Amino acid sequence: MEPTTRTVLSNGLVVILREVHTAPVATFWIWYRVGSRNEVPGITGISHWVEHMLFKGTPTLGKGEFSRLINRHGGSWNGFTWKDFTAYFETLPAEHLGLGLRIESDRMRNSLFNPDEVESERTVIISEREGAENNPEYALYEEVEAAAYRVHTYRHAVIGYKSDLLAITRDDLVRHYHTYYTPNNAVVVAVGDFDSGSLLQEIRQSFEPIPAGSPPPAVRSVEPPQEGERRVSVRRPGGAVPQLQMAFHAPAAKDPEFFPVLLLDGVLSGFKGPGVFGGAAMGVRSSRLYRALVEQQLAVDTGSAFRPTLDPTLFEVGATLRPGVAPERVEAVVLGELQRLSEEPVGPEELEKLRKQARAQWVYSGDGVGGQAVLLGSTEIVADGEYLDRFLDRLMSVTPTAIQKAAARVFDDRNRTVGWYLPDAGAAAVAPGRAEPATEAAAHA
Amino acid sequence: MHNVSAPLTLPIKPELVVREPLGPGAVALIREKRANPSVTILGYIRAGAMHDPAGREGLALFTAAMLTRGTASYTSQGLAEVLDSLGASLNVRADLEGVSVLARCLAEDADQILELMSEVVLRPTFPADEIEKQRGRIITGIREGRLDTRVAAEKAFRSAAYPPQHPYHRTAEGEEESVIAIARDDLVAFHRRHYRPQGFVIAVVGDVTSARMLERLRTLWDGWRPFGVSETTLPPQAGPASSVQRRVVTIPGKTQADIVLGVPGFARLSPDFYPGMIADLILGRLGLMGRLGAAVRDQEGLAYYVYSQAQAGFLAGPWAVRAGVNPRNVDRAVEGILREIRGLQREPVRDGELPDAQNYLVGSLAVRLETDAGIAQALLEIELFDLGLDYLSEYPSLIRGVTPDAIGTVATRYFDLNGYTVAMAVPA
Repeated sequence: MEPTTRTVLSNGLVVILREVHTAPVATFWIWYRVGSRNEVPGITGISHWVEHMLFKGTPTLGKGEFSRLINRHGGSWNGFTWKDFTAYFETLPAEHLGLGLRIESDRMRNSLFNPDEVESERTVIISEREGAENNPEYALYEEVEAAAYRVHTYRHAVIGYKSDLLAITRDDLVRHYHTYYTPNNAVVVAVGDFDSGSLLQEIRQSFEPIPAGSPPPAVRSVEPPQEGERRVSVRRPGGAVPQLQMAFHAPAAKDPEFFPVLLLDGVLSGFKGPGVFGGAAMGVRSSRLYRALVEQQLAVDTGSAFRPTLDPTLFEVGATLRPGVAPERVEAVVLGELQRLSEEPVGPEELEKLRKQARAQWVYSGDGVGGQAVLLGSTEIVADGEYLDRFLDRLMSVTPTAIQKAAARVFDDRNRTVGWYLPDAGAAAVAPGRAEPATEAAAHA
Repeated sequence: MHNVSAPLTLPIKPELVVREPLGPGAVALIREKRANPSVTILGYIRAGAMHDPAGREGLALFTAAMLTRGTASYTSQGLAEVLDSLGASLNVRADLEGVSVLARCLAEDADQILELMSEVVLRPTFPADEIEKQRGRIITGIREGRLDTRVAAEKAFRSAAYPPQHPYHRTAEGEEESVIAIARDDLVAFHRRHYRPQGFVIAVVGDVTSARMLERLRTLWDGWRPFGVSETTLPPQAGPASSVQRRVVTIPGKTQADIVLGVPGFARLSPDFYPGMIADLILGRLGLMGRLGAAVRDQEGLAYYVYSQAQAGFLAGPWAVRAGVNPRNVDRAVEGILREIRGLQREPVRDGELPDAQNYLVGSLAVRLETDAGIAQALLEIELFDLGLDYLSEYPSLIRGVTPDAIGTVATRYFDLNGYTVAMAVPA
């Protein structure tokens, strides 16, 4: 990776810059330390809604003009909200990177929350939620997270509950925006074809006039240890086959046990890279879950997920069953694989395979300015600068014994939440080519 | 109005790319790029689902899925073990028109990955037990699709908008009955007949030395000989229907309705391609989903997503608007979409939309071509449609030559509002 600088401006804004001169492009990101983690019941989904409102204009750049301005200069843009953060970016031909600074410094303080726009966005976000609800897998994911966490705010989904989306007011949104959208609660990241010294000067000019805000309220909740298995199920029509989702409490990014657990995820379903969202799927077909479930024709798909987060998170395991396979059989096979990891050390060849996957993912993450900016910004929020600097070293020094011990702790049955989606109306037992759960009616307008 | 006028630094120019024939009718393209010690390889075979025989719909996808499931030198798991031990990926994807094989590896493993790519394309063995594993996965996918509102709306749209003999009458995965009917002999025969050097393109981008790479490619691919003669069957012409076609699929257990509204569009090599692409940008892509986004999402708050897309390949794919809305808003959303299409026909450009779209298309080249995969994809498109390695130099003038009249003409000719199709999947 290219050299990276980290500067803290007088108002507390963290600025991370990495020059990459392989293509005449650059990307500008701003990350806010706010996400669904900072929400309480009654206002769930508010961080994501504020993100939507930041595309509704400021006194100097009207609604829709941000995106037009970026497109007009050949750029792409977007915003997204996750549990630990909200982020916005503009990727542009390098000579137009200044547009990113202009837009982000403007909307950090000057976003309009026009009451009519708040109302039209309410239905847009409810539509986003309803689109997700169409998917039984999503409904199960919400149930599993809500059961696995009793106390911590990670228990509710980023999109928020529908009743909260119906009730949140403009005042709630504005308060949330003013509380969290301050320079001292943000991280700027730029990667690309620029001179860091000059860009830092421009960033100072754009952002330093914005005064620091009060420190945002801390998230106080701490999830207590789980003392026994929890089970949930979702039964409804709309899915073809049963789905399993299992969740285990697992360490946060800064926990010393994070790296052994990251390798556990690799053993189970392929190593996914250092970032908060992981890299492209790799190593899947020779991984333990795939061999045990898909190769044995018990499932059509399987995987596991464990990503770096600010607070202790969940290690998740999932499977989509083949029609006609008994759910309890799949659950037993998955538990058997997890048990094996806590009883036997991972062998040298398997460990060497994972290390090579990790090195490869590390190299691939350097192709493209956007991917690099995601790594830098998200890990600054959930961990620290050291996380990336020492990532490969820490990973390579994990021993088979450490992995085994981590498996024994994480996959302890008292630490487990098991969720099943079971299709209603007998859809799971549809005989090939016979029953038609979807009916079609034709009418001419 | 700012105009993108800076000289373009293009990563694809005749002097930067090695382009060489590779056996009868195949072409290799190599672009050295030493920024990162990795290599991206993208191969394309014209063996898509448009070649599926009647009663065996889904055969092309099934064949493609089997390429990595056992070859002359590797079992399915043996191949997976080798790839996974290298930290490499080798993925095969098929659609109606073709099959792409995309591989990525560290530079130190490029020779081995090249060999594996030729192995999976040229020497798959179609083991019987692996066939059944894939069949189970494909059928489950089809069943899930029947209960997925987006997939169900898409299938209903295709079957109403295109005549039965046209490849776009259906989607590539086939139907449960046709996939059940596929035998091992069908897979072997499809592979022999349609995996042929004519039209095969392989693009290599990354930390490689062109001369050495070319030598390796020749060793691996030069002996490839076609089986039988190539056949070209032209699909029937597709155009607007004689009346508005409306299809409604109901699915239990759903909250949101998904809508597809459109017409058969234009092919990549059609003279309508450039004005059509800009019309599409203005209608439903530029900024936050173009005029559709501004009206249906932003003003009316009806939909989280509403966008248009013109699929222009070898064939004229659909030019369609897709949206997800609450079931009680379906009629309002359809009205809103039609209003914007009518608006595009009456007033093809307004408020600087044309220079915005042109500047976007020209300016975004740099961003699109930033990664190895982006360059490989562009090389493939240039070769498949015979655009020439200097295409990107000509591209700005092609884009800037599009006039408002041409946009209006294309929007009116294709989007016949007396013959469009609207299909939706709604909660039961």
